Amino acid sequence: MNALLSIFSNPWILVWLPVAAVPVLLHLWNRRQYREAPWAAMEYLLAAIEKNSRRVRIEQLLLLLIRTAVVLLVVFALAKPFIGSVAARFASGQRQHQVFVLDASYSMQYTSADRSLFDIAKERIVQMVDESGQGDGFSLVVMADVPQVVVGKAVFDKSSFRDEVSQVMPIDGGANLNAALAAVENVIVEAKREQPQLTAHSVTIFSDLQRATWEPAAESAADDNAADSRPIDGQLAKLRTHGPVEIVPLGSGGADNLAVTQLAIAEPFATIRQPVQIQATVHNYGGQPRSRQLVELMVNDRRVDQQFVDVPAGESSPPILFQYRFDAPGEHAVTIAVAADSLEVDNHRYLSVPVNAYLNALLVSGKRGEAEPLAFSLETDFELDSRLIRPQVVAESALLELDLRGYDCIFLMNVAQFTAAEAQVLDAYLREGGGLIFFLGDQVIAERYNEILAGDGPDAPRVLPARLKAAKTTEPLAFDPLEYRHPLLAAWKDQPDTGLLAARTWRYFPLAPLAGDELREQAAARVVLKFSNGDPAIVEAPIHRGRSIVVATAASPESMIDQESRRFWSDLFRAELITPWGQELWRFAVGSRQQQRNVSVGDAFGGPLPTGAVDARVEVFGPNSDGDEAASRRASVDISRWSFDDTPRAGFYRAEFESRPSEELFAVNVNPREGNLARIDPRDLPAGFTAISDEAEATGEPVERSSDAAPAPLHKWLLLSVLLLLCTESLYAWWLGSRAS
Amino acid sequence: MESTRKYLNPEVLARLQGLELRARRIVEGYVAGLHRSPYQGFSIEFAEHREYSPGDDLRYLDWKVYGRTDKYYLKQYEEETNLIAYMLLDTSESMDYRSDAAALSKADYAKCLAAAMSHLVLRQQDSVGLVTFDDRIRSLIRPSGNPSHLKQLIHVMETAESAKKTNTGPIFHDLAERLRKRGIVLIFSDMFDNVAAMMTGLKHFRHRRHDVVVFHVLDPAELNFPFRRTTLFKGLENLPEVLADPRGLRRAYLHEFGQFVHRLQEGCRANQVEYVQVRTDEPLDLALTSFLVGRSIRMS
Repeated sequence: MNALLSIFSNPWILVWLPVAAVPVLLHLWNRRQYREAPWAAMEYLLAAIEKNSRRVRIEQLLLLLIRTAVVLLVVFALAKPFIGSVAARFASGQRQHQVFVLDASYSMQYTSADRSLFDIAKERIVQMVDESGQGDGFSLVVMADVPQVVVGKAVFDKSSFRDEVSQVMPIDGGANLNAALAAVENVIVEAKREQPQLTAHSVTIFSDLQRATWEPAAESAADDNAADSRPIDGQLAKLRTHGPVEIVPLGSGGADNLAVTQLAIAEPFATIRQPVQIQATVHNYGGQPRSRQLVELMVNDRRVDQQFVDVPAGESSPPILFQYRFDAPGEHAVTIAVAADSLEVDNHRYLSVPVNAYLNALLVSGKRGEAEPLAFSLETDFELDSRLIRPQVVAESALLELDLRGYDCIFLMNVAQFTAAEAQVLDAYLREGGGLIFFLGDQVIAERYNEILAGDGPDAPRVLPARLKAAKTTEPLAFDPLEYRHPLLAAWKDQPDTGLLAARTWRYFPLAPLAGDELREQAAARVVLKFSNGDPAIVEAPIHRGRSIVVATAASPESMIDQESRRFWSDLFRAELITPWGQELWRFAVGSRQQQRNVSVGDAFGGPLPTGAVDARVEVFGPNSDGDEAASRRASVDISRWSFDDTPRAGFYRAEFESRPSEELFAVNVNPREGNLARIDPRDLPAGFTAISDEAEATGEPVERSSDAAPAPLHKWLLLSVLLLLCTESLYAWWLGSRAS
Repeated sequence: MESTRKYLNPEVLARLQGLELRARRIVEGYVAGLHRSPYQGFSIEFAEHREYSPGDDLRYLDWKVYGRTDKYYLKQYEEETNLIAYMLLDTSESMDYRSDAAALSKADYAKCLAAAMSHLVLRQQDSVGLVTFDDRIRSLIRPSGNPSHLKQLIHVMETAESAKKTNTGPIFHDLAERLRKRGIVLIFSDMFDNVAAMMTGLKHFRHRRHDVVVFHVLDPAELNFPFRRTTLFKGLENLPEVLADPRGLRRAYLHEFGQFVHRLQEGCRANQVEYVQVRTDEPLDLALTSFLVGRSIRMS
């Protein structure tokens, strides 16, 4: 029975097969129902029989065969044999290798009647496995941003394969069709080499044909001229050489969906000292406007605020703003949630917010007293209990001794030069998202800076956003704010009396900002503001995950042009100037740190391991609280990081460290692109794909292959054959009759 | 007139009992429909005296001839019939065949035809004789012109039974030897026999200067083979029975049968034997007319 089920959708129809004997029985019965007649001209009848009996028998046999074939084909057509590979295998006696590709993008979690499309797809795979023939092999590839070959080498044990399928979980990410097809190609090639007993291969893709995933394929189909040049067509062509590629479209597409697409805090950091502004955006992917949608703010699983918003159809809501003040330092889980709908996964968006009591700034002084004005300004309490940053002044020799991860930003004040090891430490610090602010001064050796910090030397990292030219002394120069275009200057904009333009500079290092390719970053260094003679005064660049800023002059009275005249490099050290400058510089520098705690599904997160704790264990607990041990990787000889990339689900991931009591919280979010449930038309797929209509299953109806896999070409061909045979039979019978008459 | 002509229809004829009645009706119907006398059709040149045979009326003995030659000749030869018609009637089993399309069997039809011919011949004062045969000669009635002779002929015809196989070749040879007087030999048969042997026999008749006419009596089914359903054909004249699908065989049978008829016609033409094909579903006047008109043309 299983063998029949593997070939026919309606095997029960086959009980009618004996009907095919009816023409034979009729023929025999007809021969029995003869009439008797005397015949005089028997001599001539005998002669006719003798000469024609063979021909007459063949004609009768042919007619009988046609009539029997008509009945057989009708029965077979009603039994609906499966198309393509299975039938072909049955016909040829081949052993089939069925590669199932399961779209695991989060749109497949669309739920209807308590069954998600993903569940339906798994049921269908299990059903196809059950219906397959003995000796068939099965592979399973999960189509995600990075395809996962769950079962590569074909397994023949249906039970174990079913177990594998049942354990596959949906991923809250997208799907890369091209990569998945490439993975399937590898699986088939491997099977051909390792398992030659599998002589036929077929690929069945279960997907909701969501536009975000399938758009490249549809574009490929639409653009005939460029068809050969697109990777998707290349992959498809390769797969087609191995066997048929079938798609089972799931769901009807175009369903309404409300998603939280953006969540962030406006400030670059959060402390318990002041409230933060939490900003969220909700997008309506449906065709109907949604009014008064409840948007909830939850902190550490506790609802703390809510708003009602109107979201126009197909558009995003205006920014939804919440004010919230964290009451305790530590890791905080911020969640924005909208009301549940059929696609639950994007109804939440998560944000990990490390909240400090205050921030730590390290001031590395290259000269005694060099950092004092800045340190003093940072320590100044303008408002009681609102001091956010705690400065620590150290000598330059401490750079290699301290654990820099404890500091949110580092000011390097008139440090004469750096060693290669110090440059590596600063580079690692930038990789962790730290902020570096260089103040120059009379001790600075420009060549060494360029060589060690600006990447001019061999194997030197680039931690400085600009090269230094020889210092030059001029008439006092004011700052040119460049129309306050740079965000760092936002605080001074429209406030001309705050002293920005009052600062004067007499000596500075002309800066040559590094280009983007030199920094190996996407963006080149930017000039924050210039001197009035046009030379850059402050240059900044995002480097790695952090940010580096260099100020062309000194911020200390210790840097003097000459001791006798006591002419300073600049008067930035004056309290009314250094205080706002210091505040804005560190705020701007530390802004990127928070981004490391918030990644997308499938992306890795991590951090540095404590110094010396090379073999320390880091355990990460995912949204479902199942712990996974993170792999510890050493970034370099003396810097060790940990990293965790098993992030298939959206939510909060908690990292616990064996070597220290603290824990870190990471937020993993879905890519909102997948929230658009619009799907492409199966007819827009490239010709290499064979789409099998399976719409009914999206409604949650019980899976009945017999009714769903109906419009198979083989089925149609059978019916067409019946029609042709009927015509043939009629013509043949007419011809025989006309010959007889 | 119509009431008499209807008897030319075999279906109507079949309802009549008695061959004599049938023959009379046929002739009445036929004559009623003629515009020209058919009698001349029997007129042939008669060049010798008829020799006396026992039983002849001595009043017609030609004594002058006897005086000159010492031989007995009937002296009233000018009143003598000028025609002897020999009716050769096939009474083999195959002649008994009658299909659903025909009202009369071939034997009945042939008897009607022979009786009608005999009636016509006797009406014009000519003589007519009768031979019935199957595989051998069953009866031989010598020719006579006496109108009462018809009764005897019809009695023989009516009592003739069909049971045996045809064997025409030797019979024709035998008859050619026995029918010494030149006359017209009318053969009523389906001719289901070896054509070559038959032709040899007919040639013998011709050798004896007989005028030979073959009435090839056929049932319409034998000409059309109209069977549709599977049929068990039971062979007559000791031929086997055959179960066959007639639709598939019809074409081949018609070809075989056509070949047979063609050979027969060609043989007749070659031997100057007149061939008249008659179908048992056709009115008898067709057979009569086709023959008599044909002869009229030939004689003129």
